[in-house]
Amino acid sequence: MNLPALPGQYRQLAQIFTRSILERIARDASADVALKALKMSGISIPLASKAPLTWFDRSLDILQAHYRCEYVYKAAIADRVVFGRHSPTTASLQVELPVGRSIVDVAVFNGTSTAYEIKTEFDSNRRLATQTPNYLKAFERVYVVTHPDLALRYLEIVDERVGVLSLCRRGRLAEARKATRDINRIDPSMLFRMLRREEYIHAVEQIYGAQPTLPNGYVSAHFGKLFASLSPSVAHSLFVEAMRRRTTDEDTVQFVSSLPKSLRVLGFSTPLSGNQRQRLLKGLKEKTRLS
Amino acid sequence: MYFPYMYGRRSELLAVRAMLSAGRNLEPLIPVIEPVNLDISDLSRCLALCEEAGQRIAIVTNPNLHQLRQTSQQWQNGVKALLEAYPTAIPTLKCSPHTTATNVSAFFRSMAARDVAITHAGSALDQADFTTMVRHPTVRFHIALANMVPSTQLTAIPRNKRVVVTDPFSRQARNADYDGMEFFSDAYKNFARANIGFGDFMCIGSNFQPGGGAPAAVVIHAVFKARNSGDIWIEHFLSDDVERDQGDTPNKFLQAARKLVQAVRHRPREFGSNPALTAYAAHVQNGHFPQLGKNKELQMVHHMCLMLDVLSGAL
Repeated sequence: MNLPALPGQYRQLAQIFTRSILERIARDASADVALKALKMSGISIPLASKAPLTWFDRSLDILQAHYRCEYVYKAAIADRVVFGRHSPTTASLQVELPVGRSIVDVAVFNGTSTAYEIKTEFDSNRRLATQTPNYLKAFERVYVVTHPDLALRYLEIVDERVGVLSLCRRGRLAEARKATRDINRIDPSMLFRMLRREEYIHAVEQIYGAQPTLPNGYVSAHFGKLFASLSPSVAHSLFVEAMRRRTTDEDTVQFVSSLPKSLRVLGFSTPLSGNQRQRLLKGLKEKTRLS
Repeated sequence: MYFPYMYGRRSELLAVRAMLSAGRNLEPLIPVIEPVNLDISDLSRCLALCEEAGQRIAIVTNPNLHQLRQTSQQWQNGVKALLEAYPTAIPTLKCSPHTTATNVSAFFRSMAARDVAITHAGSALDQADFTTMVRHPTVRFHIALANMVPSTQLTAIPRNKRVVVTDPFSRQARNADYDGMEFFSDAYKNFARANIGFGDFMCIGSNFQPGGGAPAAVVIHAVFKARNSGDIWIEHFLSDDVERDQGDTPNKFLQAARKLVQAVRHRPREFGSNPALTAYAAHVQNGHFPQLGKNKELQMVHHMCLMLDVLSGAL
């Protein structure tokens, strides 16, 4: 009879879903490093004759059932929202995106913008009061995603404009409260600070036409002033368009779609070159030397 | 003589290269480089230019930080070839608690035909071996990292070869925490009574830290000679925006640089004049952000120039 694993073992298992592990696989074209981490957890997963592709998914299933850490929630959002409701060719996903003085766990950009702040059963709600005001100024829809047992509690404590989703047992996201959509609360200055230089230049020039060449020390101030003068609706459209472009290019779509569903969110958030992506996919398909 | 101690990252090596055309007598300057990166291409270029200029530069041949924490044969071979190609470079052994008498002998043997240096970082050699090492005739400089060397070892080093490197830079956890000015050092005034030279870690600090991401605040650390005491102080010029969600890095750099340029304009006899200060003024004038690596480089160039200026009496 298999005894249930200890929390420390699940924490160890969750280590295979980190950027550093993905980067190592991409560097070595081998998943040995992940297998070592998996074996260190002491959790039994049938590995024989199976490529890493399959045991990553199996590991996520185990975490989903026994230890719902933040990665489980992120993977569910990628799977259910980007690959389920939408498509990676039209919806972009960003992980750990700075918003004002906070960092939102997951943001999805399709025709609009949605922020997902994850509160697992291991998290406190301490920072929510400072996080949500920032998110409400930057996203048309804001959700807290939590454990089903905590959904009621979050319904009571978060701003009523913030929606609440709970992650059900099989990875479904159940809506306990719909997020209030309101484009008028968007603060263009907040959006500007989330954009990269080439993105805000492109956005502003779409509205105001070509701008004079400026010394690089003055560029941000000049474009920031113009962007701040846009209506919330226009600024938001430009913002969403820029954010969508970050991951909806053909190469990225093909890459994340080739990953097992358990690794897609990590694929979105780990910057890898074309060669590294190829090596990663190769490493995930080949049986490891340790197995 | 002045021995700025650095870690061989690109901005530091570029600062050394910039000194070659800083319009100063570089005889009293010996940069000490303890490399931390596996890639030696920047080091190679720097050594080639130092060789052309006849500039002495000490290179630690057994570094153990960052990418060189594990011994790399490829790195060792590359540096060996550089030292053979550039005789003005001074091969330097870092003598730390792990260094054995065998290591020291092997170093002396491999560098038999040239002047070398020893960096003292807390040797665990017994007294006899330590004495043999410090009396070795090919050692041109014994560079002691203050606070890492017992006083008995320090006094055993011959005065005419002893350099004491201190770390007066008070590093803060965040750039935003730097504030105003503080005393840095008066070593240039009195080192000659006991030693042949002095050194410091400039505005890098002795506690090596790899670079990070975009900073919440930009700061420029600039040393100056206090008019009343003649001591060296350091002033921290901090951007007005000090939060991650405020402004952008180019603008933060200009905010900090404007404050430095204004201070230099008001107190020219404290900061002196040098190519780094001229570059800062030009960046402010042109609204140009030269990137953070260049900002670091300019701070180090100013630091080295000012130390040379106080040593020569020009400031």
